[in-house]
Amino acid sequence: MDEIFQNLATGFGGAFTPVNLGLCLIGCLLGTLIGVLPGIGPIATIAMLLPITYGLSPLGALIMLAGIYYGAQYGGSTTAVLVNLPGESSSVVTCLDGYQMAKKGRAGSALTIAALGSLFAGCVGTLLLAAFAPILAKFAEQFRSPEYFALMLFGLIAAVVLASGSVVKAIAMVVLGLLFGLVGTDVSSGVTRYGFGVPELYDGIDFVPVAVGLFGLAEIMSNLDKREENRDLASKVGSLWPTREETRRAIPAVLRGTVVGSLLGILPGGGAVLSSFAAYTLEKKISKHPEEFGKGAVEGVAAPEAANNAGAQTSFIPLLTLGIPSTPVMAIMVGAMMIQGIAPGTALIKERPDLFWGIVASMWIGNVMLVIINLPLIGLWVKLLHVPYRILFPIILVLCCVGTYSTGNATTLVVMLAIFSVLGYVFVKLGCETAPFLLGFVLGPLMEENLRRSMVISFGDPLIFVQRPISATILAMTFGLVLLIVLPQFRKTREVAF
Amino acid sequence: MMKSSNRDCGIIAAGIAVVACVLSSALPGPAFAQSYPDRPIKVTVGFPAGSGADILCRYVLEGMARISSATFVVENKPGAAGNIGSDAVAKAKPDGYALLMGASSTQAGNPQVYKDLPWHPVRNFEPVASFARLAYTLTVASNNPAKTVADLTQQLKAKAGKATFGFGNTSSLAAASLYTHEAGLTVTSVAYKSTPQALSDVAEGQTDFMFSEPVLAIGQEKAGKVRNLAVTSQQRMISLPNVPTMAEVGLGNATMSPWWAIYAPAKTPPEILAKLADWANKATTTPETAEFMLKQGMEPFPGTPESTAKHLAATIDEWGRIVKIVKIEPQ
Repeated sequence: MDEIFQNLATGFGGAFTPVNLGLCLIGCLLGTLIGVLPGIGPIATIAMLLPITYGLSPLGALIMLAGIYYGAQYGGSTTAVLVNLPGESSSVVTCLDGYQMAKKGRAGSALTIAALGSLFAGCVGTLLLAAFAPILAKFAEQFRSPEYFALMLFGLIAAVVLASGSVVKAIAMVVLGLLFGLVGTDVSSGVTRYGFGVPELYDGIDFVPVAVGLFGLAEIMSNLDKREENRDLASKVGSLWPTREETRRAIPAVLRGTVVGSLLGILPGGGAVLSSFAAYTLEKKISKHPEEFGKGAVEGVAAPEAANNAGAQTSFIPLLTLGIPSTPVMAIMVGAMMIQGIAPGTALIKERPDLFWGIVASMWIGNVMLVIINLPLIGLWVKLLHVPYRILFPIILVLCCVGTYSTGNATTLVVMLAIFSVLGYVFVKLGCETAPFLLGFVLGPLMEENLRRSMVISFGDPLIFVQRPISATILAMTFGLVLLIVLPQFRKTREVAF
Repeated sequence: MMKSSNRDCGIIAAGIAVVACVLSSALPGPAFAQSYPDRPIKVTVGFPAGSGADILCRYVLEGMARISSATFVVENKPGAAGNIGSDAVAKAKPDGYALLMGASSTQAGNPQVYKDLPWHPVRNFEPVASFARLAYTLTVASNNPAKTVADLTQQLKAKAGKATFGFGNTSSLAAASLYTHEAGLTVTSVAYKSTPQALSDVAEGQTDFMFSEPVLAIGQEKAGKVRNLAVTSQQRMISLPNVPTMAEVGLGNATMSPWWAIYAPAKTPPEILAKLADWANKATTTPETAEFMLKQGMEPFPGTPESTAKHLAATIDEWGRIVKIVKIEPQ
């Protein structure tokens, strides 16, 4: 117990200097700004700011960058709720119910729940780190390729459960996403697949054009189908505060989301991607009203937002100890550490406790600052919905193109954005859901990579997956999930429920 | 209603202005050169913003900007192991306003690994100046009984084809392949997307060894997870004074030092190349740069256009040998 306080004291002592607080504030403001502008990602911003950090103290530099990261995630949820535009994989799930809430005039409520849920999850994440960082690092080390394969397989099967409507369509979408995910150079053999001689495809299809096209632009197009007065858009603006009923439903969802997110965030790579999806699936599974999901369920916003933030917090464990980033932004954070001559490793916690705990403390401070910055802004964001669509749509379109271009400075990315917008429109017309597609797209390649690596390491012996206890447990759970989908009894209830 | 939408339009306009400012840094002006340089010089890095390569390049360019008062604008064109960036500069105007920060694996390795590349490392480029070189460490788990490279070689031989090594990038694969070839071993390679992933599997005993970037291997050695048995550089590394070189343990042919250089498109005027090389060498030889590079397990490697060209030719030969050993099929 003493240790927790000592750790937190070290951390807050370092983070609570005027300079570091100022850097934290600048980072949070900048992050919120770029997060709210659809498509302009934190990656380009952080990379541009990196040279400035040469002159800062290591702690100050990392505090500012972490601020940008959180701010951007925060801002990303704002656009997800208001205009159905996910900035990165973590805010995809927020689109599902957040945007539906906005359509019902509950945009302000959705944003408030997201903000407070994230703050709570952030606080828990910080305490978890302070109490158990070394133990958690040990747990993370148990996860090797076979465990990842099992986890990704579980995620893909869960994606079918996640979808509402036809199971066949959901499976088809997961498989289609998987196929798109296979484009690019195969990690194990170095062979390029579906490259068609286009060098930009050698590293696979970028996530940003896929997500922005499938969600945001496809939504805009399907809205333009309808007559102006019938357009089904988030133009109603209700009370900014959650009702008592909404609060009652959000609180347990935030708690569950925090647990799921904290656990998955610890796993190096892949884990954080899954956290918001997993939290959403869990909520839908245990909810008494699963039919409300996808139509503006409060739990569908609260749980994934909490999971996302808790996961972001605990993912600093694999980042700081193993140097394995969970997202591209985290990868830049490793870069920033290297500039300062800090090599990631478990020794870091012992050798530079000021730095390790300083970052942990600053994450908490950043979370508080973000709530302070964002709560008054919610009214302003919601007012954006008053902008007439003939003005809003072209602006969103331009910003999406600019943002997509800037992720890799390539026009090919904008072409891909156009292709995926059309594809997303077709999906909407066919009544196919996009979320399982994206999950297949993100998890498929990770699953393949880990499957093949496990098989190479075991020299072709598939028993490697069942001889390892963690992998065997996850596979058993996956099998249970498959049974649930296949068993006729479940299918009946599912049809009634969804 | 109308009033409020006007105000919001203003907010959006302000947003667009911010975006324009952020992006305009990537767009060069249209002026023509009278005396070089009279406008920002665009420098392409074929690796993602924020990656180790990008950080190194931005650091060196900052030093060059201080010395010359020229403005350098970095443009990241990642993808296809650096090929997309190299291709863009190969096609750029040879006026000194388009430069490439090129890695030896991209400039010397890729042309032999990928077939039908639209650019040629010698015909399409003028070397300006080399500026940094690094080495790899031969790393095993800390609980591995092998204390020397000879121990490891013996251990791998005893595993009779059931041994594995991990790699996170092409240079790391090349270094490991040179070692196994020199030592006459049959070892299965296991691919990873990055060195940290591969290294943590070495530490946990999933694979037997790997060739790692020193900065990461040193971090994990301090944490008691791994042990460094040798380095691939010509001389011992300052940050690892007690670790022998591959040559010292009798595997001189497994020496490998990937290096970085600035390149310009072919036919760039020699006066401009000389000017740039001078700035680069001044920036590379400051004590601060040396300290910065040493922290990341690299060392300054200044060079003239001539010496860089010579070094490139030698590295192309070296990669020819590596490609034959690894039996990489040209893609």
